[in-house]
Amino acid sequence: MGRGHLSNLVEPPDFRAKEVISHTGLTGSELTRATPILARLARLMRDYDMTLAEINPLARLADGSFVALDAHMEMENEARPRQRPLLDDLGVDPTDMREPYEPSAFERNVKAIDSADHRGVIQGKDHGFSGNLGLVIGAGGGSLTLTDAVRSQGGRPANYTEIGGNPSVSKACGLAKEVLSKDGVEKIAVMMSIVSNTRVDIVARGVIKACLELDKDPGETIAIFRIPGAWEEEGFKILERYGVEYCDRSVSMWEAAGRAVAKIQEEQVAGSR
Amino acid sequence: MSVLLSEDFTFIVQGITGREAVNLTRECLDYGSKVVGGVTPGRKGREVHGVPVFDTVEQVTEALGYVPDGSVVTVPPAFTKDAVFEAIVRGVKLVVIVTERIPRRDVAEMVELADRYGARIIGPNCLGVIVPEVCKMGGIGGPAKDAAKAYTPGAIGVMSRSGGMTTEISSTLTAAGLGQSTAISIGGDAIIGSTYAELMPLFEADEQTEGIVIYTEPGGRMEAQLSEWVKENDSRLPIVAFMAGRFMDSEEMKGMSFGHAGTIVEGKEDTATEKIARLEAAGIPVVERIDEIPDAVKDKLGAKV
Amino acid sequence: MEARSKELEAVFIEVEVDASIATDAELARKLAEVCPVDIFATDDGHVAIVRSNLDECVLCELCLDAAPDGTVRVKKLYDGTELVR
Repeated sequence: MGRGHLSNLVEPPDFRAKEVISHTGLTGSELTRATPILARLARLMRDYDMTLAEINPLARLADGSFVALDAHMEMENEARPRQRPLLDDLGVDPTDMREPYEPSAFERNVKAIDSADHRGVIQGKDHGFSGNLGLVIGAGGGSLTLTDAVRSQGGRPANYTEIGGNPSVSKACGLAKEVLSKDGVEKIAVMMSIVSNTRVDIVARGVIKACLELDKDPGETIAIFRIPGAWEEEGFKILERYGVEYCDRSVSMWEAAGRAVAKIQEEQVAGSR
Repeated sequence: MSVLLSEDFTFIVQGITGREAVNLTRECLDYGSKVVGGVTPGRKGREVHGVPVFDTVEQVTEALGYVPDGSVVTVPPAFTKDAVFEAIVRGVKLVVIVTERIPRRDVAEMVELADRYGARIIGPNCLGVIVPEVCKMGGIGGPAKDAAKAYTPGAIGVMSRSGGMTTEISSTLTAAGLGQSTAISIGGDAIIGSTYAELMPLFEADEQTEGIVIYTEPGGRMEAQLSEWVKENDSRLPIVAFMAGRFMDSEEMKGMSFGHAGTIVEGKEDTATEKIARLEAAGIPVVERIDEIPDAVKDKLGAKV
Repeated sequence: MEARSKELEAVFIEVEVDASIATDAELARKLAEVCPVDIFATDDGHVAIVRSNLDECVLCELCLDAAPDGTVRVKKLYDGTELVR
């Protein structure tokens, strides 16, 4: 096997490809003929922002020349704007994000709400989720941690979300409404790790407003609100006014998730009686 | 002592007139950090919270008469590479990149250039570094009064792929009487300037640090590198890890990224299960809950004495 | 299940402008300029309140700074208090 690391600061030179191929024991005209293929593959990977560029299998014809029988390339999303000309050539539409699956209505709606308002960032996914507890959670790491905490304690999340970057009231409201409108969702858990940029009071307004606009009682619908941090005193006043159970940083993310799970389970037991 | 930052550490903010940068500058100044200049091309002569703004890093160093120790880069993704190159070539040795969604190739170039110039990059897609009650470089912990609530001086080094969770973990440690020597939001992208294993030697050499807590996620090889580093270097520092994103192990989540750009399960090595096994094999306990971290740290510290 | 949805306004915040300044065109322009969430607008030289933006108020008090003392009041409907100079 031949293996080599390339500099990203300069165009991958031919000699590096030659060295790598020579490590496999190839020599003679095979070496000189295979070298440009590997060198061009390396340049292609760099020039077109690929995260993977693979030729497999590579075949040698009777005349000694090499041809690629199949190839696999992956371009990263962050580079799509500057690779637009190539994507246009390939007929990849700007709206086609090439997800590994078809986005759901929930995912499309959340995306539309996010792009309509530049304040803050929200994301929503429900592929692979089919539970009854709606999650209005954030931010990146907090969402991962909280989704685990709900599942580990027997809860069944209906979805995954991320709130970040201090969204507007209407954006938080829009996200909560989408989660609440999912089939089978009766309650939502509104939770984040300690926030420093996103404001507690703004998210509180958003999720309460979502309940009110859907004619639901916020105190009944929001199983738990656990977002400590910026403007929490103001946020807690709002939550108190609407009878929503909330907690500060003294209640861990795990405990808050557990309370939400317990509430939804109690309700099911009561409902089945 | 601490790592990366100290009381006399000076830094600039590139992209200082942007909305988030203005807030970040205010927060850092309030915390006592020495923000000595800012750069936004075309805005020379302005001030942001009393910090003078220049067109280039070169102008800043000329005006100051010295090269600042660090730079916080918060410019749009298409311009980040140039800004980072500028800082490094002008002699800045610590660059914190806040910007998200920078193409990987650009990051790879920045990291390589930094290496050649003997500079260090933290991030991209991070909130920065904080040495409690000494210096805050970046948005980490938020406004000074909020940062003071979560972070207290002490013996634990914190490294985290999530900016928000750096604060959550530090706050949990603080509540349990465990302060932090330095907390570093290392960034959530697939390629970052400084991984756990690359930062470990700094903590290892820091007298104040007695233990390490890391926050990790699925995706990438950083945890495997850390396990190897620990085994090869016979580290004096006990490490406790928390792994988020265990739910991503399920087959239907494969190829989906959650939370951060680098958090994606593409192969078996990327899964939480595999990473937990590797870390534990290296003697690093992986707890399931954030609120279990303080006891796990105390156990480890106790076992060491 | 298709949830019925309505759009509510001013659930959390109400803003009152004193009659003495309501027709001040210059002040109307100033209020519209300082408010980061566009609660104020100018309407033919009058101060207008954009009701659909009221709940976006971030309590920054820039409108209170811009207007003569006591002429703009920001009411927090959730606790009955108000911001006023």
